[in-house]
Amino acid sequence: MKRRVWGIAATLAVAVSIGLLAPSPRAAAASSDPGFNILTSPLPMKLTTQPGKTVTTEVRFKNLNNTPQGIKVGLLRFGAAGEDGQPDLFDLTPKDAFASWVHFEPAELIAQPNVWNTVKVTINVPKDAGLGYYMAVTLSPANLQTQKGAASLRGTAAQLILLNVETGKEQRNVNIASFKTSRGLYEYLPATFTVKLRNNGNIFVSPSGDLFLYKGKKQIGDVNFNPAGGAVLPKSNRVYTITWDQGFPLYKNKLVDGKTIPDKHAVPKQQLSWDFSKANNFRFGRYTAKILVVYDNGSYDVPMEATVNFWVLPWKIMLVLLVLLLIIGLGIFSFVRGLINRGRGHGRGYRR
Amino acid sequence: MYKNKRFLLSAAALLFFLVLPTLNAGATQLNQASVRLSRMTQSFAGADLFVTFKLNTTPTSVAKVSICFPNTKSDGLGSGFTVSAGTPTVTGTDNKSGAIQNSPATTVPPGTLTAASTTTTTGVCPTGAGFPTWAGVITISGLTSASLTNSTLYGVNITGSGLTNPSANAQYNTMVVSSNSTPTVIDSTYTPTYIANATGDQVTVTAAVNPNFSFSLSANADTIPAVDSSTIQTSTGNVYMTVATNSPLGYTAYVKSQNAQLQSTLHSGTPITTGTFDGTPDTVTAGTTKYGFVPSTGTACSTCTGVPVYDAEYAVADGTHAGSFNSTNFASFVTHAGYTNGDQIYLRERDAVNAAVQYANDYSDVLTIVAAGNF
Repeated sequence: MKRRVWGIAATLAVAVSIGLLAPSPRAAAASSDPGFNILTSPLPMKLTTQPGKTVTTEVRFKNLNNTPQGIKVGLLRFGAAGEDGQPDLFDLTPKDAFASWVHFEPAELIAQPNVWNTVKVTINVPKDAGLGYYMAVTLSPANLQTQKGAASLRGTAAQLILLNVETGKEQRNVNIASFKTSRGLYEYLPATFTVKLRNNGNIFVSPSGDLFLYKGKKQIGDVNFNPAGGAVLPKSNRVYTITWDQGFPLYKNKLVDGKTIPDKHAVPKQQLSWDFSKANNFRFGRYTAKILVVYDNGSYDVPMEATVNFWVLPWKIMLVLLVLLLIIGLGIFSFVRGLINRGRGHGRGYRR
Repeated sequence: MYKNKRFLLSAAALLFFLVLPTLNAGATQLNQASVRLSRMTQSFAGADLFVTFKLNTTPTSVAKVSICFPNTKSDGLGSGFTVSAGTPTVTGTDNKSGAIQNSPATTVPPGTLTAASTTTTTGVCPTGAGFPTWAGVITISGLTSASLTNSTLYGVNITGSGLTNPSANAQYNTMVVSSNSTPTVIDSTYTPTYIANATGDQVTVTAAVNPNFSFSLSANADTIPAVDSSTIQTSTGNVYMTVATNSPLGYTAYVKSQNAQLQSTLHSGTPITTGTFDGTPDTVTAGTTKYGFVPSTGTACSTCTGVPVYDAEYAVADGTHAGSFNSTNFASFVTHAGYTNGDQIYLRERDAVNAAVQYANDYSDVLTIVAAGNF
């Protein structure tokens, strides 16, 4: 009987120990959930080919987690969302014929930690294809265990491909829809310009160019336009922002602990920077900005120009100077009036 | 008389041996010396100098140190340096650790140092058989003799030297000379320098940085605490995504809900549905069924242009609103028009239920978070 009691007690003790030592399901899930961490290269790829030909490219990625990660390669379609170069992603539909042309090798793999992997993307363009195709290659976890009683999150990194199938019917036709400054009057630089381009063609275009700044007829500065090669998709607008910051003093982003601080409108807060080594960049008066945009129409470079005027007036400094001048003027006036009055007094005395 | 002669001879011999070390000292070299040109390329004008020296003996009467520049190559042929008359600047910082300019540990010599460059080398730079002819000399004056020691390696920078390097690549024997204030030469030593061809002293370094885009999700599951008709609940998993890219075009991130609602397999008749996807966050009220998405910035980027900007649907700043899901399309929720070394964006879900939503612990949904570089 005693032996039996001891046996039951020992069994219970072992069971309790296992129960205590075993992690709870949530804790186990938390500790075994490394998330998803991936580094990809390159950034948007621009490919050109002809109907009936095969074009290939590579998507490279690295699993930055410490454990192997199953990766599945997928495909989406994209268009332009808004006018700032943001893609609008869509799931593929039966209308997206290009889905059957695109093949990945491998389409699924185990990515070891911190090792670069290459996925070969082969696009077999049929003979009846033409013009532009805009797709996104996605890299996502191969097996995502959904969890009951929680929101499961599937992370995906997408790389854009802009494919131009040259058929001889492509039209590249871009014009400047607008060119303006964010303000007509700046106290100090930077001055911000936006140029809106309209692509009336049927193929994407990546324009380039320069923004030239003039004081009167003298060129005093220039800024490269679209150095990153941002594209305008067909039948859409694209707004490019250009900043001219060759000024003194200059508004710069306010940094706290090396980080920009956004205001309530998500715009970085700014503060005035006085770098006296750039004092020769002091700006005052009326300026002219001329944008020169160039795009390749397939045969030659097409230049386009637009101009806008704006003012830079450091009005606070001007106001202080004006007040000082007024004070000095009043002082001189009082002094002169005093002299005159004294002179008159002497005159009266003399007459007496 | 004989005795006197012996005495005089002895005295002369003694005097000779007493004087001999002094004569020897005049013929010895500085213990250590070097001249380093900032540019060793041929015909370079205006190279700066870093000069080091260590004295042979102390106490000493050294008050000046000169650098003599030859006007021929070390083989006596060709042409050498060109020295312009002027007043170079002597600067120096104690370099105890040897960290500055990858140099040996040096100390600035005591004194108020000045320098002068001249083509007149007479009396300063040694001449005669075995010595080169000199193009000019730079002399550092003002050393405090009494404070100099022979255990210290002294070093100074000379800028504005007025020196032009020889036009041919070859070895040139410059010389460092110490002298007293007269000046009378005390010690000297050769410090050979090699002048390289036009590009021989520089390496052009080229490098490339790949375009990159990184995306991480800290976890794959997020739990909203149990909700009832009197509360609003927000997920507590602190799941976040981090996006970094070196593209100046920036990135956009999207969310897509599998069901646009939290569904229970036990009670599928009363899902917790999302609000209206209309470009404005929905109000979440206790007692009214609603399910939405609340992204917010965690740690901001430190090397970046611009800041993350939330789409109007998801611009939520309080605990009583949430953006609705678009179950049919990917809905962009944040964009950053510029490069960033890492935007940390918290991804939270928020819900509220009316009293009729049936109790169960398996309400769930799948959110797909996509991030893509802009074009």
